[in-house]
Amino acid sequence: MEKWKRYTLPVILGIALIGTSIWGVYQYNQSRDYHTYLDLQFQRQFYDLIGHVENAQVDLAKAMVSGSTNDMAKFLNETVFQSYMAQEKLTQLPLNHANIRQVEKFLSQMGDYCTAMVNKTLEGQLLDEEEMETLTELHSYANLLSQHLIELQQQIVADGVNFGDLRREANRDLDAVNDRMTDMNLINIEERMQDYPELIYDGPFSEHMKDRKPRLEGEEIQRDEAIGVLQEAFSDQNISNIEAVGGIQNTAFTGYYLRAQKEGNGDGEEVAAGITKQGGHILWYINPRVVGDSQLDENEAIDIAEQFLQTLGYDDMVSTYTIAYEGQILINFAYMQDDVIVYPDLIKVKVALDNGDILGLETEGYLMNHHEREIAEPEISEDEAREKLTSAAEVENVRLAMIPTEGQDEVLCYEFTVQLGEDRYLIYIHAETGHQRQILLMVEQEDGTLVI
Amino acid sequence: MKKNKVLSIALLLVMTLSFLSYVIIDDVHGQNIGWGSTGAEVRTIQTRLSNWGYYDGPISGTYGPQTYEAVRLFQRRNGLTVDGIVGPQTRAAIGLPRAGGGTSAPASGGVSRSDDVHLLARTIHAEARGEPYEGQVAVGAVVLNRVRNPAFPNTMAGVVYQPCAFEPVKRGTINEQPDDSAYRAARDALNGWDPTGGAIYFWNPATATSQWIWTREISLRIGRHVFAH
Repeated sequence: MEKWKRYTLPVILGIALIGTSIWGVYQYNQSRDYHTYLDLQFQRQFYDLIGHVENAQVDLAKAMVSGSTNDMAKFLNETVFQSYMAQEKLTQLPLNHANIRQVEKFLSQMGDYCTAMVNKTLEGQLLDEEEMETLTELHSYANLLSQHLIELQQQIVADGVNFGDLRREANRDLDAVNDRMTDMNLINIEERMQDYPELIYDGPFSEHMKDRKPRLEGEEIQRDEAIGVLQEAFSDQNISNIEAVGGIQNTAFTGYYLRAQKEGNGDGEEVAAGITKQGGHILWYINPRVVGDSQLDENEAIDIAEQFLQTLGYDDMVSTYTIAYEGQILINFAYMQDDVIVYPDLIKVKVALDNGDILGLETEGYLMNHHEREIAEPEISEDEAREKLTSAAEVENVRLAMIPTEGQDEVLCYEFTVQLGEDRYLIYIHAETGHQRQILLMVEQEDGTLVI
Repeated sequence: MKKNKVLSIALLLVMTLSFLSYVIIDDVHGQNIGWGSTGAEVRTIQTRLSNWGYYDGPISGTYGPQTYEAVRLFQRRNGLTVDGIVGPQTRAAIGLPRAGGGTSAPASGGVSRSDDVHLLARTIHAEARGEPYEGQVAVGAVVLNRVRNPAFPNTMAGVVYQPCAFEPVKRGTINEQPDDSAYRAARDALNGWDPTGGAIYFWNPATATSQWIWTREISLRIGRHVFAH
């Protein structure tokens, strides 16, 4: 009996050791499997990337030597596809962003630029000398990039393949490519999908045009004055203890970042705002209060928002879009000049449906773009524009609108609200040329409607 | 004496083994709905309870006292724990989807972007919980600014899941269920609020390790985060 007891401990320990070892081997094998699997996925993406860059380069070369605009459009289209695919593959490789930033940007912009050129060719125009030069430049960079990628690939193959290696090598080598691309700066064409039904996220044309000098005028204000601006704007909404907590710089608008307490808001529900230094306008305002039961309807909320804008000095604003959710309503306002809706001059207001508090204000579009425009008479008549629409579409409404273009200009268009099948669209016909500029598909959510 | 020793060693072993084995945490479930909750799910609850005769208040989408009483009544009659909170069991009894979010499906034939709201809310929750509300909106805005920026992927999923981009994605905390405030911040960011004026980077100076990140132009600081171009 004594003897048996003596062996108990070693036996238990022995079994535990064997158990742990088996478990450990299993874990090791499993993690090696995962590692290999991941490795192979990344390898594949890397090979795909090389393939796409090479193809983009070849297609671009073919486009440049094409005699007819049709052939050119065909090859440019292929270039667009290959560039975007390459960009997509590159961005999903586990490489350091700082090292491949310019390459990613280059691939995007090659796609963007070729898209613009495709559109131009499809309208029957020939590319001018400057555009051909840009294409040549793009081609030579694409060439450089694919050469580097092939070198990198050969290196990896020669050294034996491992994802860890790939990551290290790629980070070092692409750095060199990166440096050479730093001084290249193409126009960024944001809207790639011209003439294709595009989803509206927050009302038509609310995307702000970045990298543009604001048209804002006025004296620079001081920190204390900024506090006064907020105090005055919300004088009837019980805001207290306004504090300037920081500055905003290196953006289109330099300004002050303010926070304040508001009566009725709970703990940690301070309101915040950005005030521009120039002219002292409210750039954005956020009130994070959780709202209660709805008491107001849409029209009452729009009235409140309109009055609020008038007290801030924004006259002639018309609501173009509303969406209500979770007890609040978001209203987009555009400036109206001579019965033309000017979409770039956009202000958004959010109203609480329980007590009519202003929950949010966003004026960047307006402050960026607003000025009195010379709006020319349309060259083509409404009926002529209507003929450009598909006959299956049922027109519900038509009006003149100024819309932004990808080239950061504005064009005068007829805006048709049409019903086709289940869906409603906004179709914009250029009031000078009769070309179709834009199609927007309206996604109607439960409470979101377009105000016409 | 000896018996005690054996027992204690066996205990020690069990503890070691259980320490070695995986701890499985399943924290992905639908949000509990209770006092102060708002949104489409509350509306659904109110509609159903109203249809079944438990509730006679307005279908407001806000969980107030009347909804609370109705839920308690429903729970009492259906043999559930009477706490006035719509947790997993009450949820199942009312017939709501198990892992629900806060947004509604679109009514018509269009395409829904509620997936975007969920993904953005999860990112905001993982990156900026406990930050001031405008700081949460700002984090959402950075993700959206990246989608538009040529140097980044072109879809929200591409941006969020880009390798080496967001720390919580690497750690897996991105899969946690976001709170209400993250959802509201995601909505505001999608609706165009951007306190950063177009920033594409943000970091916490206390934990950031990259030297390169400090070469960016800083636009402002909100809470613990620095936002930059």
